[in-house]
Amino acid sequence: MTRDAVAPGSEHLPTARLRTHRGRRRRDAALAYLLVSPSLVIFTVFVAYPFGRNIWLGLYRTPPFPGLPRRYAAYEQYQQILTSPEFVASLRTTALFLLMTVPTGLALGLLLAVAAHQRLRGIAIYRTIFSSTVATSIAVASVIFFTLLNPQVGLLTWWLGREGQPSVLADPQWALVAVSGVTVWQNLGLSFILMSAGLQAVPDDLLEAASVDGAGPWSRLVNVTLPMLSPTLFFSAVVGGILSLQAFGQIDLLTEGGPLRKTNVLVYAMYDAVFRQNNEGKAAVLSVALFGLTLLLTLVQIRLLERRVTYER
Amino acid sequence: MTRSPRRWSIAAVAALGLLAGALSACSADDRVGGTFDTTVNPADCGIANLERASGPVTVVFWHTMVRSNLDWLVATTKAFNDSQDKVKVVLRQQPNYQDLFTKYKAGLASGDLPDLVQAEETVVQQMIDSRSTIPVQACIDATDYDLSDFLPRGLAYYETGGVQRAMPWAISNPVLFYNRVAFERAGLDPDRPPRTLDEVREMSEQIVKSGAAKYGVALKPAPYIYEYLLAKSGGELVDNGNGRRSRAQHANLTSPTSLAIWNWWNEMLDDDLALDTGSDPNNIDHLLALANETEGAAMTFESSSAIGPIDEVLSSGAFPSVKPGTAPLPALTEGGGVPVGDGALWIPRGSDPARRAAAWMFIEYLSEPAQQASMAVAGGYVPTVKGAVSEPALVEHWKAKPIFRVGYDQLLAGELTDANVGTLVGEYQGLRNAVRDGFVRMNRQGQDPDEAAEQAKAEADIVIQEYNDRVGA
Repeated sequence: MTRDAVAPGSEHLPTARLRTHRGRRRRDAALAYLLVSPSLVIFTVFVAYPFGRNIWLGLYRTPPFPGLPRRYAAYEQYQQILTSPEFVASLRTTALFLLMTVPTGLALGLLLAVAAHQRLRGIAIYRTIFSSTVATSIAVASVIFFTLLNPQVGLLTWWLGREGQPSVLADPQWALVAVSGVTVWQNLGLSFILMSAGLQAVPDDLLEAASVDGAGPWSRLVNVTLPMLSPTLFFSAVVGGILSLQAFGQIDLLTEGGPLRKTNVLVYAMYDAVFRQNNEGKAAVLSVALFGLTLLLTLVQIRLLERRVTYER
Repeated sequence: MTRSPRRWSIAAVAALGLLAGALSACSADDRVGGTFDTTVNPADCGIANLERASGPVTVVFWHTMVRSNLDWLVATTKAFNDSQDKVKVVLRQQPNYQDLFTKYKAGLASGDLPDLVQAEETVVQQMIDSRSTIPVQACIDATDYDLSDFLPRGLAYYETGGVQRAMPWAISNPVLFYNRVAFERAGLDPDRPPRTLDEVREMSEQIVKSGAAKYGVALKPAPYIYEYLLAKSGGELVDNGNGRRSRAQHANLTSPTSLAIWNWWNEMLDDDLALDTGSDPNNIDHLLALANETEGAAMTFESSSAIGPIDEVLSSGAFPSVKPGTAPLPALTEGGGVPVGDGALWIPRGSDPARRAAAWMFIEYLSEPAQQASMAVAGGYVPTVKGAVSEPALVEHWKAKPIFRVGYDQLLAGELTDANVGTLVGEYQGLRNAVRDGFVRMNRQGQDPDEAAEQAKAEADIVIQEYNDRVGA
């Protein structure tokens, strides 16, 4: 600022200074826009435009084949689809799936991470085993469980005492539980790694201090470890929730949305609408609904959970 | 520069042309409102284009053949390609009918389409609505092709409004499978299998009572089994003449004929005469049940195309307690007929005219008695032409293994009616899903059969009307 210091009595200087100031600001802004433009272009082309187009597509009743006219239905299509029993059932299934996979995944991941957070010989072997499901794709996990649940030769079928009965995956009551189980198993590795990393960051002196103060293992876990882990837990909950809302592969491979549409989560309903019914308008409405749901869930998580998160170390 | 009157007239003609184009586009759209576009233009077949073509014309053929049928197709295609130098057929195997059709529909927008495509019988209405194929009638007319040797039922499914849309090719139909050993043990005559559903029940009672098998019949709640029972009993699956008079608007799942089948099915399960093997389309537990001595059944219903694989498995001698028998599908009444099922060949409109003619040449080749006979021998499909039956290879095959003949005999039986030449409905898969879910609710959740059929009808009606709405019908 010293360079721009104004000599007392001079009349023209302030305007000149203002002009150069404005010019620099303009130049800065131009540079900023220039630097931001690549990501802006990418964002516009691949996110904003398709997003807007998708909302717009939901206003139309689309024909099953190209070349036939599509008809403008305004908000009627949104209203019709979002109030249909099929959508409500799908929403319910999605919510159940979320509830069955996210908390279970977090709890199991934490349990394994705490168990493996020991200074023992050979513990690395267990850590490798616990995190190994990260290396499997959901297709591999599905095939493994499909075989395990096979009504004729499946090991799990035998353990569950269901020989001679149709597969768990064909049972309207248990199909969603089974699919959730596969999902939890497949996500367990990631959950374990996140929790382990979080545990590494919990300072030992805090735990020792708690010990000295007479805290037992349970009390140390609840009153020291968990609060220190809260950022990890929060992150895992948000990411796990989003992953769970996007689950598709296991459902397509294991149940195709059935039986009785009991595993027809929103993403699968969208897939079914596009590829089986060729109904792009319907799929667009469903995807807008899924976006709303994800947004809502994330906002709720941030509002409710972030308050309890401690970032202090 | 001033405009001369000549220029004005050119402009006027151009404007008129544009107007005409717009109008014709409108009338093309109006046709969508009707069920069938019945225009046939023999030139669409492109016979002349093929004759003018200089080098060999390539035909890309999407098919779903597997195992012994695939081996047969590869060998037959090679023989065709080697026999002449005008046409070269390239095979592209697809995993199954459903995935093939999904890919085909995606190709309608992207342009990735074959020159010849195999599709199952359930997609006829959608194929017509997509207007993406030429009716094979164009080729029949262009070449004066003689259809008299074809089984009338094979052609009938694919003929609407007097126009042949596609050619039957790899066909089959559901039949009754039974274990002759179990029949003998139950004191039943293995040469006199049941002809009606009542007889299935009576014989099941005797089989269960005698201890010949735990259940009389293994029932897979697959929608096509129900559809064929319904068709053979004279029931139409959808309204408006089974969708053949005009576009179907409702499912007929609660007609008296239909309800009789739902109730028969339910009572068979309730009385422990039948084994429910679950609706998973990939499971073959109903067939395995025939070989299961302690928990199994003596009969089941399945497509005639399963005879080949069953025969293959049993030839190994691993199941001495099973001697398979086949018979026409039983129904509520005797004397009915069934629609043809499985694969037909369609010629996409988007391909080059010369390629369409080349595809038709290959269809003609595949329909020759010799090829139809060797296909029936190799994989157990029903021949589409009567001439195949007198080919020595097939005569010998059927003499050695009479169980293979049943699908052919069943297609010759019964008068042709709207109910039994095949259902035309746009969203066929959605209708099937509704039927399948209805059976699951009845079989697994104890829903009353009439209520289950009622709910399935309500669900199917929504799907049918939604589809009709979207094609503008």
